[in-house]
Amino acid sequence: MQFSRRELPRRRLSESTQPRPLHALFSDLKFALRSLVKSPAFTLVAVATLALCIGANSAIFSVVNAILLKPYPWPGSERLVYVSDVFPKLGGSNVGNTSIPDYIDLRAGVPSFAETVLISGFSANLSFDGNPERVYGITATPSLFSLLQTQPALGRGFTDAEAEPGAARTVVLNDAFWKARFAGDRAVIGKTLRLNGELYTIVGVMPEGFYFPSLRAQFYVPYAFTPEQKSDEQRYNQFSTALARLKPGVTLATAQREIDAVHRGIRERLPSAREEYEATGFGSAVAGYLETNVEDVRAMLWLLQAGVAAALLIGCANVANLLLARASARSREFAIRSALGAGRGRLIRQLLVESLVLFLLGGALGLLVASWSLGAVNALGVGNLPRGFGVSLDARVFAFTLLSALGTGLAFGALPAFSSTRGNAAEALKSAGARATAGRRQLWLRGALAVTQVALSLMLLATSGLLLRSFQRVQEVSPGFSTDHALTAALSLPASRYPTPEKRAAFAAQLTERLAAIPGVTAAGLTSALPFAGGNPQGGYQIEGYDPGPGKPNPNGMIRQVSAGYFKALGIPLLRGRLIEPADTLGRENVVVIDRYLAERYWPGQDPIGKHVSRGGGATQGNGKWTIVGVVGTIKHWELDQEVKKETLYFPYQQTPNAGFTVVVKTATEPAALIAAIRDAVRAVDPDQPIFDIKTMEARLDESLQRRRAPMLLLTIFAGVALVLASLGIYGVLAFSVAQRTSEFGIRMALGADRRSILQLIVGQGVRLVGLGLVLGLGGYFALSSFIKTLLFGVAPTDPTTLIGAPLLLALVALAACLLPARRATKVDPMVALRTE
Amino acid sequence: MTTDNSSLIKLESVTKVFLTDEVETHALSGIHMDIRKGEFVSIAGPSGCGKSTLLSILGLLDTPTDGTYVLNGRPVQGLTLPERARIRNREIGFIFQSFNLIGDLTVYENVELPLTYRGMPSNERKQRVTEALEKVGMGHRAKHLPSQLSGGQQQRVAVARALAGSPAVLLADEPTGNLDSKNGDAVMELLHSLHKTGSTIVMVTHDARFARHSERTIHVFDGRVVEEQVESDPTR
Ligand SMILES: Nc1ncnc2c1ncn2[C@@H]1O[C@H](COP(=O)(O)OP(=O)(O)OP(=O)(O)O)[C@@H](O)[C@H]1O
Ligand SMILES: [Mg+2]
Repeated sequence: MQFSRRELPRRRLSESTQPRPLHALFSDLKFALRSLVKSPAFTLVAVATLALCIGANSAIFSVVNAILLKPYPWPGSERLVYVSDVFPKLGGSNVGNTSIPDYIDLRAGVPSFAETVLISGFSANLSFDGNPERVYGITATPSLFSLLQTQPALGRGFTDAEAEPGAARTVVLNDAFWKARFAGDRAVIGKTLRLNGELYTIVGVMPEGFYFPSLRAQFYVPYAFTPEQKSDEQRYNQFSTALARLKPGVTLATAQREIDAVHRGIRERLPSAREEYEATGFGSAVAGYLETNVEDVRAMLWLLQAGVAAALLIGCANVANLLLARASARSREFAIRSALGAGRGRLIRQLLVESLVLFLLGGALGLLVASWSLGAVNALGVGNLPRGFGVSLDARVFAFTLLSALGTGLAFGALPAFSSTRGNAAEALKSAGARATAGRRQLWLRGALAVTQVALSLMLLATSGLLLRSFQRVQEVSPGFSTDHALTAALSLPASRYPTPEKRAAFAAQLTERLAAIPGVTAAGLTSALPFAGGNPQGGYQIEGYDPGPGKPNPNGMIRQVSAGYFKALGIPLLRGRLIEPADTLGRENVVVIDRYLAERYWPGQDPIGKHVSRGGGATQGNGKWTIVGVVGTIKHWELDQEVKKETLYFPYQQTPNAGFTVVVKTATEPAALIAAIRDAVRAVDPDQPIFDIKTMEARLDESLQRRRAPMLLLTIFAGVALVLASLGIYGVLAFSVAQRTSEFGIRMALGADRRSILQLIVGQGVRLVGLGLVLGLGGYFALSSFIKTLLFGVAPTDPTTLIGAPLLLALVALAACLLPARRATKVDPMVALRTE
Repeated sequence: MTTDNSSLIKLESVTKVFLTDEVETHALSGIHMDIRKGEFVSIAGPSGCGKSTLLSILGLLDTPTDGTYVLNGRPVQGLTLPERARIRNREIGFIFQSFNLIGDLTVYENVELPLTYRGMPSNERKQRVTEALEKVGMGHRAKHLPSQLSGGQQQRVAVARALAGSPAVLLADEPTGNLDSKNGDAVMELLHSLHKTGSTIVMVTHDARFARHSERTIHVFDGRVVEEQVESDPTR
């Protein structure tokens, strides 16, 4: 260890030259600490309340911070935007989907873009040490590294030449993948990785802590556009995600204007595109990257933060109550101090310092509480929210905690400080009557605090009640299929070993046969896109004999390829005609099963069986004409709380066999017990074929509820805490009032008041406070209800159960809190009326 | 003077023992006492001899440890708490040394309080309160708060409160203790005139000068009645 040679000239400041305010502050601090130590019970209760409330706030803020506020781990992330193709006239939004030719035009034609990238997900089978494994990476144009302004820590990024079709394959690894797979070996550059049977040369490793677009991505490979992909034919084939970094100072609106200009150019240049533009309102839209990613949870998280902040205010009000009680017990001390010449400012400062010490202590412990509760918050499912993995206590959370402690300390410390030093010393030194008036002023303040507590609690209770009921309602929604005893697992057939439709069809046929033969399996099938599993391929199609009319788009639906056993395995009901059968194979008549939504949309009141639909493009074989043979029930594919707004078409997998699919087995026994048997069945058909994403259907549906569940549970917890704190507040104000009025109750009893009338007096006081709080709380609740409304499902803010239940619960708990001090008041000995001081 | 011969208060062998921290304090030890309707009785004695304890038993604020107490021909032991409260309210008027007005209530409301507990209709209450306040000369201060009155005025309001309900007996514990001599005299004059119109008054006092207003003084020492003295020439 080495210190600087130069000694700083240090001179001890003598007492007399020490700046006086600092000296005074120091002595205030010393006095504050001493007086807090002297009343350990008070200090303990106050600090514990504050630690819990501030800690909960910091915990939630660390969630808000990680999800909504923290920038991504690369420079300029706040200027990153999605550039998405949109079809306003088709309805719905497709975040981040762009076709290759549109991307090329926008990259060249929008001056506001500093850099752009086109990316696409890339799941691959990794053969490593003979074990097939499923890995996930990103296909990205070489501009990725300059877009994110981050270069690999080891090696290099992609060259433009590597993004040409036919170029040697290269890959850049993410740090975690590199450490897990290659033990952080720096000599990894130049080695190869076998993905989907192809060799990729490792050219770079990204820095530690970097991730893009999510933690899930393990590696990056170059995005090579084939001439066919670049052609205008592909303009509406949007399957990649375009991102751009705006130049500094450029607004979204400016970028959008430039984008619109590019589209006007395309439209003029391509007469053939004009019709599509007309029919669909086609164009591109720009939207903030972070904002879009967290759109679904933003309102809910802010609501949560507001809720926990309300709980903090309620807790602070309790502490203020304690401070008031302390101050009033010390009013004689203050009177004497002031008679001895202490100015009011001096007294206020001393009280403020004392409260600040208390609140800062609470804040410091609150950080501990927050760090402990992060685990619990994660366990409630916050980690599964977008960006939820990054929840941690960082500098920003520390600053937030400090500010919360200081802010609440100043605000709530000021109340008792100012209120208890008001009025003159002579008055305070006089007994009886004067003290009664000082008590009354405090009582008023305490009453106001209690009313606020009740109001805030009611708002919290009612809101959490609404979320709870929404959650119930969502859970009650039927997805249209049965999740019961259904186990699912994904496969992806590599093109190297399954290059032809025939080979894929044969694999699938063998696999489903083996799956169905597993003891305990009652049905087995597969689908190209499982509901509640993320993917949702859609596409345009034509209906024979149906003309959308000039300027109207062709029908567009959700496209699935499914095997014969799929409907049975998932319990999707057949409504008309027949299901897909094993005999619907390549070379046989092309058939399709449609859902009820399609049938009712295009053939209301008619029988669609035997009608035809056709699909263009290379996705289909034969003449692209398909005969409708059956109608099944409509199912939800995405979220339980979203209405089905699009039809689904089920094509036989055997007639359109694609590479990726998910198998579904219905079991008679516990589904998880069959995982090994399913693995064996896959291995029996192809020992090199990995399966991944093995989950019960139940679990998948449950995950889709996560977005609602975690905030709902947290808010319910806060509402419960608020309820307890508020009733403590009511208790406190009444207990104080009873203590203040002991002699009054003695007089009243001496004059013939019986217990009931004393009880009524106190309970009446409580009822007035609670009633006023409830009225104000309902007002606040309705003022906020338009905001809450967007977070609800199946219930309105005027939901009678909530509107009656929440105030009733609060009133009952508050009443119980009144009874204790009220009973104490009835126990007052009437003899106190006789005793003089 | 309207004294009749019927007994209003009759104590027989009343004792009161306080038990605090294992220490027994014999505040009263075998008190016999008989007070007739319309009497004005003083209770005198040194500090700590049990005067206030005696008065609180008379006022049903406390119960004797032993002995019997018959009020208005009715034994009071075994009464329930609500019954005791009811008797306090209807038969007894209290005047305390420290006035004991309720600071949050106006003069009018303070006087009205015992009538409210009685469930009296408001117009009758109004009439009684006004009458009582007039009697003590405080009618013009009905809307004031106690803190706006002098000590003597506060005590006069307390007297009004005690007599508004026309109780069978007025119990006063050192009603002049917190007052200067001028105000004290005024309050004594008030009690004296009340007695003349027929009220029964039991008053605890230190002051021999005030004791002379009464017809009879009971001297208490160490929880016992040691002497009864009939004022030969009370200043009437
Ligand atoms: N609640 C109580 N608990 C215990 N001891 C009590 C209680 N009330 C009174 N005493 C005791 O009983 C005795 C009589 O008290 P009391 O108040 O009747 O005296 P007093 O004659 O009214 O005195 P003073 O003239 O000072 O008012 C005293 O020794 C007192 O300490
Ligand atoms: Mg006494």
